[in-house]
Amino acid sequence: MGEREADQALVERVQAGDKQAFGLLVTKYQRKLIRLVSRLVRDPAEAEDVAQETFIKAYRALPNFRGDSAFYTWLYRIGINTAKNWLVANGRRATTSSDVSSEDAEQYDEGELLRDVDTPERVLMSKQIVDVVNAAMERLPDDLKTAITLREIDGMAYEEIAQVMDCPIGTVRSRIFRAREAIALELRPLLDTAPDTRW
Amino acid sequence: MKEKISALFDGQLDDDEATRLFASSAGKTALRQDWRSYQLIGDVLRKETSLDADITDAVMLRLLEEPTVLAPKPRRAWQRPTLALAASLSGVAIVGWLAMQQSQEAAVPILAQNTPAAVRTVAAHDMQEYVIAHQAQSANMQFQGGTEHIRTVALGYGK
Repeated sequence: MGEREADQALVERVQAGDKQAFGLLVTKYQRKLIRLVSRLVRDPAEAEDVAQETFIKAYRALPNFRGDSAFYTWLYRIGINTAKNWLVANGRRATTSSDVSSEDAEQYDEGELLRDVDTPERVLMSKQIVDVVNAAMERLPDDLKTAITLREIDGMAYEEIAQVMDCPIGTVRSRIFRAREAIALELRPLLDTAPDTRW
Repeated sequence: MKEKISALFDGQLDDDEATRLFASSAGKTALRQDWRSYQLIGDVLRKETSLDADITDAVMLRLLEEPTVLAPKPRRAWQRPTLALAASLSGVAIVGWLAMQQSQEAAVPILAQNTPAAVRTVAAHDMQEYVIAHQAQSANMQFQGGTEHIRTVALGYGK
C-alpha cells in the first residue's frame, strides 16, 4: 500500500463518520501545509490560522472527495485558495513571485521557507527536537537505523526494504517499529503528551 | 498495539486490523500520541522545518462544532475499469447463454416429441383450409399499411 492508498483509507474512515481519522491526517500534513501557505501568508501565526481554516474547509468538503487525485494534492489546493482569500480579506494580495500551485507544492524547497519568519523560541524548540532525534538515531543498532532510514528518508515500501535488507517483511515492520519507539522514548519528555480527550 | 500503529502509519496494516485499532479505546489514545511522535520523527529525518508547530488539537477542537461528515464509500480508481469489465463479461455471458438455450430448443422438434400422431394428422389435413380462412379474415381487418408484407403460404403436404 502506497502513501496515496494509505491516505485514502483514512479518508474513507472520515467519510464513514470517524473524526479521529481526520486528526491523523491533520497531524500528518500540518507542517507541510503551514509551509505551503507561508509562501503566501508571511506571518507564522497567520499561516497557522490559515492552515487550521484549510483543514476545516477540507473536512466540510470531504463528502465530495472521491479520490480522483491524491488527498494531499486536494488539500494543498484548498490551502492555496484559503490563503489567497485570507489575503484579500485582509486587504493584501499575493505577489506573483509567491504564487504557488498545488502541482508544484511538493517541488519547492521547503527548507528555505521559514528561516526568515520563525521566532527565536520556535527555532530553539525545533533545534532541541532535531538534536534529540539525531542523537537517538546515532544510538540505534545498524539494522534498525537502516530500516527507518530507508522508510522515512528514501520512502521505500516494506517490500522494497525487505529486498534491500534481505529479510522478511515482518522483520522490516518490527525493525521500523523498534526504531521509532526507541527515538520516541527520548522525544516524549520534550513533547506535550498530556492526555487529550478531544479526539 | 504500538507495532500496529507503526504499520498503520506506513499504510501497511490491513483493513480489519485497522478497524480493531480504531475501535479500541486504548488504541485511540495510543494512536493519537504515537502517530504524532512518529510523524515528528519522520519530519526531523527528512530535515523539515517548523517542527514545533502542531495545530492538530486546535483543528480537532473546532471540529467538535462541525456535523460529522458521512459519505457513501467511494470506489477506488482501480475498481472502476474492473467493474466495467465485469459488467461487460456478465452481459456477454447472459446473452450467450440465452442464445445457446434458443438454439438447443430449435434443435429439438418439440411437436414431434410431444404431439400424438392422431393430432398431427388432423392438423396436417386442416392446415390448408385454415390458411385460406385466415387469409379471408385478414383481408377484412383494415390493416393500415404493411399489408404488402403479408403473404399467404400454401402448405405443401402430401408430396
